[in-house]
Amino acid sequence: MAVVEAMAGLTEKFPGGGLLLTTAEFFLNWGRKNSLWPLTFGLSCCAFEMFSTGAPRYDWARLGNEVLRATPRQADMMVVAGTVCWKMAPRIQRLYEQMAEPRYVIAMGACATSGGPFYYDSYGTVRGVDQLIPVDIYLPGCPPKPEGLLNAILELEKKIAEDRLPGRRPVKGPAA
Amino acid sequence: MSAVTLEQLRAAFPQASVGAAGGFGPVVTLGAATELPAALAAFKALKPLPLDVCEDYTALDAGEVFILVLHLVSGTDVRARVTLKAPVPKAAPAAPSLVAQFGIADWYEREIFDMFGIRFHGHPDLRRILLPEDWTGYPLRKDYTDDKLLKRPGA
Repeated sequence: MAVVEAMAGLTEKFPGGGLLLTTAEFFLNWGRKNSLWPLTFGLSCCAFEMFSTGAPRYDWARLGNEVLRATPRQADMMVVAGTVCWKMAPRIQRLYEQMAEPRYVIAMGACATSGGPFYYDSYGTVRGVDQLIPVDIYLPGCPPKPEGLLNAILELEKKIAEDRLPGRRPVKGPAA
Repeated sequence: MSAVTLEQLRAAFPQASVGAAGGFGPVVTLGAATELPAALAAFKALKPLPLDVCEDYTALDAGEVFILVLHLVSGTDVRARVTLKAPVPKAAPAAPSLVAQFGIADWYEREIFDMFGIRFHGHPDLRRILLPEDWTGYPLRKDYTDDKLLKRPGA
């Protein structure tokens, strides 16, 4: 009770509640994974599945992907939804570098993960966006269904939950 | 009868070779690309339906030569349509620009220049349109290759 009185105005009483203890690391990861702000960014056909995932039927806002940002400075998650061509490559790199840290990338569909149907005999296709920027989650499919993208976001959230603060070594074994 | 007949075309283009309907109406093949502006004028003056819309303009790499391909159609009746072809020598890939006849040919010619390296004399702004500005080579040529391109094994 002394803590509550000493920190008047900073603490809040829950009816019948006690004291909640956590680590800064868990708290930061919990906040990050539940409020990913995606960059408004779609390259080709996969983008339509992404729009569908954001629309009311699938509604990725349920997972905290609340607001699509039109500027990379306000976004921390990028879904590369579609074919990346060499003309687009420097633009994608620049967008990624402008995004707020920590930032995450989902490579959506066959083209973004590997070049897909344009792997051979294509003068213009980058064989996987991981040649340009680091990728956190690879999502196969041509195109993946919205359920697939939702699963990729859940996997990304699991990955974020295991993030360590700077200077802390990664945990061994499954996450707590 | 609203389609363009072969007789009509043979009368209008005695010098050109006129073939039966392909994918897009009868095929008129000119002897050289330099004849294109005059041919377009004749198509625009064709009776009873002038072929006054350029629906598509592209090129082919036919091995020995490049072939320019135009799809012309009547703005009055879409059943009146013709494919117009003209060869361009590979040694000196150049053709007269058709921008004066069809304004829409501007970007089509930039695309053909981008992909095949055919130069269009009289074009107002002949630059690459799809590929990066610093690209070298013309990727839709059959002999094109670069260090990023990966050939399909066994093909």
